[in-house]
Amino acid sequence: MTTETAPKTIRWWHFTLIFVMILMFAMFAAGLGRDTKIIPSPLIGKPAYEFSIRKLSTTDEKINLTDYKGKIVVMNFWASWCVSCREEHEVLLEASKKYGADGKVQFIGINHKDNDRAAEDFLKRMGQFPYPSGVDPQGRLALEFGVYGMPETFFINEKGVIAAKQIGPLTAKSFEAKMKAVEAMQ
Amino acid sequence: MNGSLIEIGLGATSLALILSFAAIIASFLAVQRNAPSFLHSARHAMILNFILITLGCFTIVWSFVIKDFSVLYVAQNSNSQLPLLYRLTALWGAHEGSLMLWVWYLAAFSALAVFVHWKSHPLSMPYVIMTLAALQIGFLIFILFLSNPFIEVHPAMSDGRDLNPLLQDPGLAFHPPTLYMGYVGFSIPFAFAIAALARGQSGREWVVTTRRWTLFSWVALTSGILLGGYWAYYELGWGGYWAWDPVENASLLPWLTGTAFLHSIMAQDQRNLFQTWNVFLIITTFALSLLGTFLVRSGVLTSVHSFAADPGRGAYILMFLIVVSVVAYGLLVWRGQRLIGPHKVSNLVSRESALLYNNLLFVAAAVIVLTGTLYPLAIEVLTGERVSVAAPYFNKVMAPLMLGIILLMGLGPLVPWRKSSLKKMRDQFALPAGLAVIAAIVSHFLGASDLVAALAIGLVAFVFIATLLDVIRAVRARMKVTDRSFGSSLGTLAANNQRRYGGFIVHMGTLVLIIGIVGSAFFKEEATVTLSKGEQVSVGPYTMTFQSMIPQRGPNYTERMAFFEWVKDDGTVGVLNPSKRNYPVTKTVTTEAAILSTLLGDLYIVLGNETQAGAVVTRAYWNPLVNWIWIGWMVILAGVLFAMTKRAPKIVTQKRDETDSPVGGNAGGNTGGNASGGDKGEALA
Amino acid sequence: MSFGRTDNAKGVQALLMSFALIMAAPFFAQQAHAQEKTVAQETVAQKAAAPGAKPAVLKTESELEKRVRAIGSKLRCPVCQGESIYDSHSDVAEEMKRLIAEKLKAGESEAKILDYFHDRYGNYILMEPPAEGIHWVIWVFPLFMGLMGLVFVMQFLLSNRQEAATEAKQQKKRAENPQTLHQDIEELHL
Repeated sequence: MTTETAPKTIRWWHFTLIFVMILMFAMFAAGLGRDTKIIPSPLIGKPAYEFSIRKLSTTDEKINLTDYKGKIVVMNFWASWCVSCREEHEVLLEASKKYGADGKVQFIGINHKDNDRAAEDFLKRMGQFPYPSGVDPQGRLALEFGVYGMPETFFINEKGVIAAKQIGPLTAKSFEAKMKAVEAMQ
Repeated sequence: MNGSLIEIGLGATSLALILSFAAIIASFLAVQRNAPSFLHSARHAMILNFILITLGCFTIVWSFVIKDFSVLYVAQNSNSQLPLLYRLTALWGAHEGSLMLWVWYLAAFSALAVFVHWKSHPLSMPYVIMTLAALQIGFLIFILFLSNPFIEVHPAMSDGRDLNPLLQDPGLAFHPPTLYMGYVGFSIPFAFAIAALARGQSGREWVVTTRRWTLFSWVALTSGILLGGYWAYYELGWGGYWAWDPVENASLLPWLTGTAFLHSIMAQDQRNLFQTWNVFLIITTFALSLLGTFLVRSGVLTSVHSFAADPGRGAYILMFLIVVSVVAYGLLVWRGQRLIGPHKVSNLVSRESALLYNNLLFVAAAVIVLTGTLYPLAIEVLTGERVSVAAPYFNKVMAPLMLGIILLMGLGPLVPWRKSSLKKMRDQFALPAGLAVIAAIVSHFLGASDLVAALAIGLVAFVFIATLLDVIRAVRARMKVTDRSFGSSLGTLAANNQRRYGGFIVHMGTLVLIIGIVGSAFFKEEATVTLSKGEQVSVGPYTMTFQSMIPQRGPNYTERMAFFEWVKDDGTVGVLNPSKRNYPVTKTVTTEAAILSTLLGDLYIVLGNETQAGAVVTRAYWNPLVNWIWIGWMVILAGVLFAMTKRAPKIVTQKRDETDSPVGGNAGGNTGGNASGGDKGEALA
Repeated sequence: MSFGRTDNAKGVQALLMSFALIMAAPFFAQQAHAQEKTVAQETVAQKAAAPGAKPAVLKTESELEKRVRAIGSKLRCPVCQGESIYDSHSDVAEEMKRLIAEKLKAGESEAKILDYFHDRYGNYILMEPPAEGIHWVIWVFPLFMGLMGLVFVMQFLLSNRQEAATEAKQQKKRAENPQTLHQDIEELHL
């Protein structure tokens, strides 16, 4: 009696067990390579917040995002205390030389939770950006853009819509890829 | 000279890997050619492995002691300023060393199991050795090829990078070793279960043999988890002890299935039931221990506990996990049917069915925790979206399960095997149930406004009263027969039923623990205020005055320590010193909570940022009854010790081992006779 | 026997006392605290009144802080990744708490503030997934699991029960009619 009924129930859970195992292991395998630090931003495809902030090393000069409408804006959050910002500094200098020349692409730096003195020292040491930086001493603008770590870079298209975002230091390669994403959006 | 020492460690560990292969081949030949001499060689290999891996661990520990920074692992995880205690515990301070500790436990337990069960289980032994040696191979390959702690750097670093400051705490010195003891301990019942499957041998033998191993592993895992909570409470500074973090969940998973296993093997022991299910549970428990290692070490899940993640290592552990699962579950699917005995559970109300309900709740809890933990990963893999499943979710879904488990804790042990009658149930449970309802209602009006809190209090009262009544009834019955005093009757009763009464003690400890959890979760108070010198904040029965802030120097850190003068309502006064530490080498800042611990509750102060005006953001917590958690843990330990001192019954003789038929299960018949009453259930042998 | 009874009464006494202790424990804390707080405040007042002592100011948590906690506990700190922003001491979390406080002061509702963060950080910022779209799965699953388990266990028990009943019937029949025993054995051989 026992041996007659047993195979039926056993077959039922055999399949469940194998199915669950395959599903789980496939998921782990798929999940292995990815970078858990990257959180995709829901702001991509949305209009960028139109901020107006004080320009670095000035007392009351402003940087307004609206001034750059019609241009692609590359907005880079950086800080003098941020280690990875040193890594991407060279990339930014190169890229701004290459893309900023024809006036179609405007670069903006956002100096995050820093003081002017330290920021100026940093630029002196690492090389001046050929574009203006605004200051965000409390990091409020960063929250507005859903920033959670340094550095992060936003790519805003001519219509003022956020087209792409780089989390962590830029490389020449990732910069090209993001610029392509901006162009693809049109 | 020192360089050669660490090389000796590397050599010893490599030799252990080779010997593990030898052990597998030897035990295979022992079965194949029916030649016991091969098995002797396998045994020697296992015991030698223990010595070799001990030597390997020792060379690392010694390098820490003598501050040999030419060893990369030592340089990465210690510093010349680090106190000796933390230099010793730094062995498990990072990935490589903690795996070394893991494999050391495995080698130690393997050697012990081979030694202890050698005479009584000659037929299972080859399979046991094969399983354990295979596990050792899996970990040794990982250690030697992917996370080698024996790597040297030339020239030696002038000073080390220091141990993660969060780990520089006595609580953490003992948390991982205890937890690993539990994880690895389950490998012995696992190996015996595999042996039972391989031999197609049913009956209660492997369960009875490994009962103590199971109890030991269970209590080690329990202690490891609680020590982790204790450490989090003291060191992480957010006023709580359990955050449902993925790493914490990973340790809870094998505990949940292990607890289910611990209970359900009683049914196999006493009534020869659930044989296949028990094998499934122990395989799952061990697989979940490995899964925990995978989740923690591979970095597929993000967690507060920042371990260095490495996808290459993750891929290896995943492969290992797949191999272990495929082999173990495969054997179960292939041969599990042979284990099914003729006995059946047929009553909805009996000990057997209570154990079944217990298993349902624990396994459901495990499945839910596992799903909640893996859900963000699943969603990201499927849709690319990132979501969080954190404490609020788990608290909501686990509360009903916890309540069900408490209820069963009262019912299960008191319901007799086979069958109970309605009348008997009423006699046993009417009074406790009535009192429990009163307790729940009264507590609700006294301040347990949360439904879960009121229900938990009612249920705790129910379990406590029902169990106590049962014990009193049994003692009274004994007093009638022997005409001895209450205390002496209780003593003999407990001594004759060590497992049952040990179980009762564990359950009472769990109640105390639950009281602590309910108290600290539902009756907690907290206040966050910015205090200038001379200002006060009040929380629980305490009022604290912020006095001053003093800079200090520790051996490898600088700190700013605050002085708080507290006054309790009964007039007692004292000082508490929370601080903020800065570890310059690792460039980290930690908050050191100051805790005033009493039986009634803890006063817990954490510092936030200082303002320029000299004021400080202060967060004060009043955590009622939180100490009951640790007291409950002590009671649980005592109960398990009491239950473990009972010797395994000598039913498993060599002869039985050999003649045990594939369908078997004559042991069930032996116990059936005296399994009628609730008290006599465990009075076997 | 009277000896035994006294001891039994003692046992019941012990039981009731322990019961009372267990029941009382959680509110013990609360009650004691509620009553004694006034005493503490008196002590504080006395201390303040003592000559030469600086008057101590008892600060209570502001309503604002309570509301910040309510909101901050529902949001997950994006850099620490396991804690809520209320529990976290990280820079981002601290700034978020300040922003929440400012928004509350400006009269924004809890829902609106949660939406602000949700719009900028996505579902990741919420401590638990919202019960919408695919995320219904995680909320329905525990219930589904529990029901499945219950159905499975019940089915297991009840099917065994039927089997046990028929077996018992057969045994009874066998006992009544020894001839059927022979039949049974034949059946078994088939």
